[in-house]
Amino acid sequence: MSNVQLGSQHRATLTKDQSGSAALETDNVVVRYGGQTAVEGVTLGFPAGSVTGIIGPNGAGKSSLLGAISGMIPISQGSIRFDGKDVTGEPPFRLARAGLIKASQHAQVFGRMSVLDNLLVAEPNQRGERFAVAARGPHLWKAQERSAEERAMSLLSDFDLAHHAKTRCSLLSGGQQKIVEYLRALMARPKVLLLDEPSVGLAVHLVKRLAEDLARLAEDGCCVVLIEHEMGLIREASNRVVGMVSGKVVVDGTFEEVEQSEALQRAYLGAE
Amino acid sequence: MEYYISTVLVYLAVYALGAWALNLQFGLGGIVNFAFIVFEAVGAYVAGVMSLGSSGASLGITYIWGAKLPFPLPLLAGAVAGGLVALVIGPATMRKMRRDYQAAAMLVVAIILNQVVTNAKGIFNGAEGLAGVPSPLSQYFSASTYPWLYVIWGLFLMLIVYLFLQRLGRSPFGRTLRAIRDDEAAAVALGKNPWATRMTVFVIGGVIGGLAGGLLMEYIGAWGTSAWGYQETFVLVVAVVFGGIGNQRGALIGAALVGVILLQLTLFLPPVGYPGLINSLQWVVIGAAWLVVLWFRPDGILPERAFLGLSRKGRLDFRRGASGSAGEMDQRGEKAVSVG
Repeated sequence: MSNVQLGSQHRATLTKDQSGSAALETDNVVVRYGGQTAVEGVTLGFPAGSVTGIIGPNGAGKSSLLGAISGMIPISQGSIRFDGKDVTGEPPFRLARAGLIKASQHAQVFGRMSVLDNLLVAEPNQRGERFAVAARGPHLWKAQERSAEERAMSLLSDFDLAHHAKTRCSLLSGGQQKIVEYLRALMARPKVLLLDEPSVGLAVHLVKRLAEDLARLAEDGCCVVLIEHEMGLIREASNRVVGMVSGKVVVDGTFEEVEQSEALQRAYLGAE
Repeated sequence: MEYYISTVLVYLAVYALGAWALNLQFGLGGIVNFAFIVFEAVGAYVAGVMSLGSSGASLGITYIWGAKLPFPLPLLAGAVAGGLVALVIGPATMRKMRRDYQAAAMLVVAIILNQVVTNAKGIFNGAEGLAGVPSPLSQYFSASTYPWLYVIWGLFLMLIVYLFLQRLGRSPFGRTLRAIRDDEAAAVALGKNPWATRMTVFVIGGVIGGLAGGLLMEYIGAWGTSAWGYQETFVLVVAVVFGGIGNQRGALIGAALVGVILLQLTLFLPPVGYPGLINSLQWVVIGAAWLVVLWFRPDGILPERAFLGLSRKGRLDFRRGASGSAGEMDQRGEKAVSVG
């Protein structure tokens, strides 16, 4: 396991036992692809104001679990509750509108649009997004747009991307695109933020900044769930770590507790 | 010669309206609509039967829905009919299908509808189609003045549609549309509803297509099934690709180059070979132009701009302040990027 040295001032100490009411809950969730079971009976609660890291070897079912939570992958069994409501089977765009936002494993930017437009498109409840309003003219949505622009520029500045605001997004490097996707997710004002390997392609200083940002998000009440192979980020950003192997949760606790998990070590190292 | 020029200008207006509508659907919305010509056909037929009166028996033609509505109601009826047809075709071809299958489904729809209208003579008089459709208000003007007034009417409609589409394309609605086109899954993950958004522009495009068809019908006074073969859509597709996918001004240039200049040039070629060879060559020229553009300039003459904000001075100033280097922008609103 790699171990990037990060500042630990943001690291919270919340554990599963200390968690309050869960912003997100999965109850006995099963995901199957044909005859193959990717997620097998996962029951977890993710409280608001927490950062939960999900780790496990490739094929453990981590991405399938996040896909199921976000509504992108249909679940075969079980239920998902978000914000106190059963949202099982809801279309993913409705979940996103309610504040459940997912950033994908491979940067999925809107390549032909500018970086700034990539962020602006995520602003929720845009008046000008409705055809009837857009057709009547910019005077009905310009003020909201200006405020969204200021927020987007501020987010870009945080990650030194403001000077690329008008750059076509497809021209950015892979790491920069990952950051754009992350910032775009923030623009959507998430209540629950699902991140699938957000550190892929990022320079070390950006990983550190990401860890700090995630901690700040949690302080603001957001529930963050991230899948990650970069253990430095997991260690510094997460106040709870869930270990998955073969579609099942094998350990759930602090980073130190999970580090000692024999089941997880066996899965990673293949040792008997 | 004057009539020829005015007719070419009316055709320019019709092609421009069609190219803009297709650009909205295909260029901004990513809908590969190979059935677009159906909207124009429906607009032309409906504008025709709404001008011809309740019975075409005196002209020896049969059709449904005859009426004699005053200007500009037949044209508006044609536009509405285009939108209604889009409301029917859209769910059938876009709801459950992947985009590549959508293109095939649209093509099939265009072929089926053409065959139905050709063979069911009672709908719009079969292959012969409608004829003798009166031009609106023509009785009030001289034969030499009227074509130019019609050109002005066509240019006026072009202006209205252009401004409307520019407003739409630069709004958050247009931005969402482009996001869905670029990556549907990512747009869904941000709360966008691709189906509703695409369906909206499909219907708007249908309305504009119907308007274009009605405009042409009321000028030339006749419309048959040979005027809207599926290949007519490809003229507009090539115009949009030629001008620049996603760029309204590019679509206008494409419409002028492909829809008017390329098609008209072949009319001036000396007769060679068997009769009809020159007409066939039109499609060879269109197809070759498509390949040349895709090979050498896939983004078209005027590529889509990455940043489509309002670009008002205040907004630019804001960005200059925020980024500190807006002066580095090139003409496409982009900067040189250090990738790394």
